[in-house]
Amino acid sequence: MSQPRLARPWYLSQGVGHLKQVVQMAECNPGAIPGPDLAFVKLNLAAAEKVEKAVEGGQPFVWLNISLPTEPFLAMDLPYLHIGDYMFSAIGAGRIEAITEALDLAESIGSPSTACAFYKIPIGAIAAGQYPTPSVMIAGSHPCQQAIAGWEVMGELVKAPIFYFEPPTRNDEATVDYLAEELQRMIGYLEKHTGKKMEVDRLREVVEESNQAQELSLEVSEMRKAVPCPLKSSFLNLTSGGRWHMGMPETTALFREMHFEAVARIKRGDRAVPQEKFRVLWYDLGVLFTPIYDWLEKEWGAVVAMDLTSYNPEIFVDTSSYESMLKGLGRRFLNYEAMQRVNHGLAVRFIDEFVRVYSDYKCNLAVYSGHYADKGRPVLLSILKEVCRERGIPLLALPFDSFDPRVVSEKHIQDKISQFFSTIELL
Amino acid sequence: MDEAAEILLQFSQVSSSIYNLSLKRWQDRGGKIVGLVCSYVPEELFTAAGILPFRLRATGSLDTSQGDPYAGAFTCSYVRHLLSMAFSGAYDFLDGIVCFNSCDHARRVYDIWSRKLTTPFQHYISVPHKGGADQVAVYRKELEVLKKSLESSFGVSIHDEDLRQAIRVHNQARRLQKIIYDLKAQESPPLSGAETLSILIAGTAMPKEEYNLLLKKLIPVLKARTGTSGYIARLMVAGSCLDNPAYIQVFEELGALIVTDLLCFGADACWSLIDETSADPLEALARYQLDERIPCARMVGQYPRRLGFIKDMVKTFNVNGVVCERMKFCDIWAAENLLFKRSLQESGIPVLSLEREYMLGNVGQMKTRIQAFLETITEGKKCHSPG
Repeated sequence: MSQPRLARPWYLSQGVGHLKQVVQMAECNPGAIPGPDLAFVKLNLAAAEKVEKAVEGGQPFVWLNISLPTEPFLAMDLPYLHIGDYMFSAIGAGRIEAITEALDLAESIGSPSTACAFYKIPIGAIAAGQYPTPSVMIAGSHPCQQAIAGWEVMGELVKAPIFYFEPPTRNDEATVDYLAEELQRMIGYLEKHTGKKMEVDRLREVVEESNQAQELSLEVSEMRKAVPCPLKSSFLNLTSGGRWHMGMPETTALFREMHFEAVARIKRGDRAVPQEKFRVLWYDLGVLFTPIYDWLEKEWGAVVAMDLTSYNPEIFVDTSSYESMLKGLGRRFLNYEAMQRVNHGLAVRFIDEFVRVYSDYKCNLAVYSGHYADKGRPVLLSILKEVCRERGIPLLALPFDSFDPRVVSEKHIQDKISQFFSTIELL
Repeated sequence: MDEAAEILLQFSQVSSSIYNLSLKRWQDRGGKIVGLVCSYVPEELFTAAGILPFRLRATGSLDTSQGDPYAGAFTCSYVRHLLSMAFSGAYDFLDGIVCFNSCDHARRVYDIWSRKLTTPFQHYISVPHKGGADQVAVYRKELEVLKKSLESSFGVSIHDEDLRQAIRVHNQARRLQKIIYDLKAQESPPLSGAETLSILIAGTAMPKEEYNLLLKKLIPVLKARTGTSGYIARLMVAGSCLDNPAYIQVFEELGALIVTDLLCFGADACWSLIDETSADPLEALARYQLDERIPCARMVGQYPRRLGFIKDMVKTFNVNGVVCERMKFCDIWAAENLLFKRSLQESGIPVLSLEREYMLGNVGQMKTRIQAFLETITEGKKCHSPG
């Protein structure tokens, strides 16, 4: 199948267009959008405008698999488009039908209905010519087999040069060393296929920027441990979203804005919910097609104290040398994005982290959503249920597809949560 | 019963059961057996240690009731049956098990097995999804750890020469299996596709030397046998793990002949040989698995190689149509089959995409689809015939 050539793919005309409208609207109505939310939109717009400029100027840009460190791309002045950006743009623009249309198209060409929507959406968008064609694709065999299946198809549909970033399923020093080398191989591939060069000093600047963002982000996360939680659950979405662009000044600005807001809320004695009944550990992917965290707060007085995609351990990258930076970025890659961090290897890594974070954030119940398409999750859930039973942790197992509203509806998810919370209230 | 039929029956008995007479004789002599999930763990390492490698199947499983509490509705039925059999005690005879990150379904087998079952030796390895020298080096290190672990747990020493000898023995099996395939390339092959799959499966479930001896006896008898003729079409099967000859039999009962395949229990097991003279036999094993064998769909960026292999097979074996099969919920083979279908049909090769469960079922519906496929091929032949 060849891609239909559109004058301006949806991602640029509608997705990026929507972000521009939001920023323009905010400028006309100062204070209409809360500071952190506006900073988040500005961050995404800044990243998207780089892609837009590259596409319009015929300059190289890259498609990126989930979880990869963005610092090398920024240092090489290579705009990147995360493969999930079409979906996130559609969600941001409130155009869920753009997602379902892409899913329908992907399935019509043979993607199975039980495969992950995260990769099926771009396949559909590519088939419809809604993504601008990249100069290089940085694919990967992580975080799960859905990436393997998805990139194999996208690679054949697009036929751009493709580099597969390959992380082992282990998390140790040898793996960190290997990842530093793999990052160097990726950089070499980018240099060869885009003509852009890596500048060590520029990489240092970018990494120092991401270290700053990391510090602010960790402090914001730390503030969530307070009981009652002073910060809204939806802050978590900004945290995980912000980490998709580590190294951009706009990312640091986002976390600074969040930090400022968090400190102000604490000073004022604000709480996420007036009466905090439940502190939830949401330890799987969230519901991306509807703001379920807001609903939880409003409907049940439940605050999500921490979630899987926002949690990350403290990892700063040593900027003393090029090698130390690659090693640090390798270490951060291993421990940063949730799917890579705890879902790429054996269950024990997930379980240990779950138990620790549940305790650190003083939660009193947990939700494991068990994203349908991840075929490793059912076994993980069976182990998690046992661990929670042993430790007396109330656990709601709530399978749905994080990205595909056709699989389990918002209403169904809300009903399941309500049944569970009602039961807990009776205990 | 002629000699060929006797040996084929023996292979059929081995492939249609889990615990077989050869395993019993091996254990009666004090031999150890280690089960392997999927094909990316090198059997040669175990042979070199004097341990019998046994590829884990769920042959004979009647249901998934004991596996289901640990799996989900979207977990592939191979894993559910395998866990069910393991919990039922069918694998209690194993002295060990080695798992790896074959796919997301199979990776989790280790998570459950290590928590719930008491098989004495349990080991997990991380196998790269990408080929190339850097990944071979990573995988070699994993094999080094596995080797040391086998040595300490089983009280053996594995020397390089032991590994080279094991490679020679396994290569010998591959050469003999390849001869079987050569026979299938003939216009009138002396054995069916179901028999071929039985032979190949048996190679993963009995001592290699014993297996090689049987193949050496079988091949000359097969060569002298009158071949099969009168079939409607020569088919190739490509796809995810298929270890049940009864599936192949369904096609053959309808008049097709499965002449070749791209299956890990089939041609993939024997098409390439491992370097027998390498100064570093562990590296040779890693290189074979990641770079030299026909790659499973778990290996990234290898679609062109797999497609090329199918196209070569279509020519060499004079194939009239390709069956792209996959086990339900196997997403990596689903993607592969999506691409195969596009490319093969563009090349004018008829394709049947088949989704199946691990255990043979839904035969009626399957037969209807196969019949329709065979009719398409027959019609196509008529259209293209000069008359």
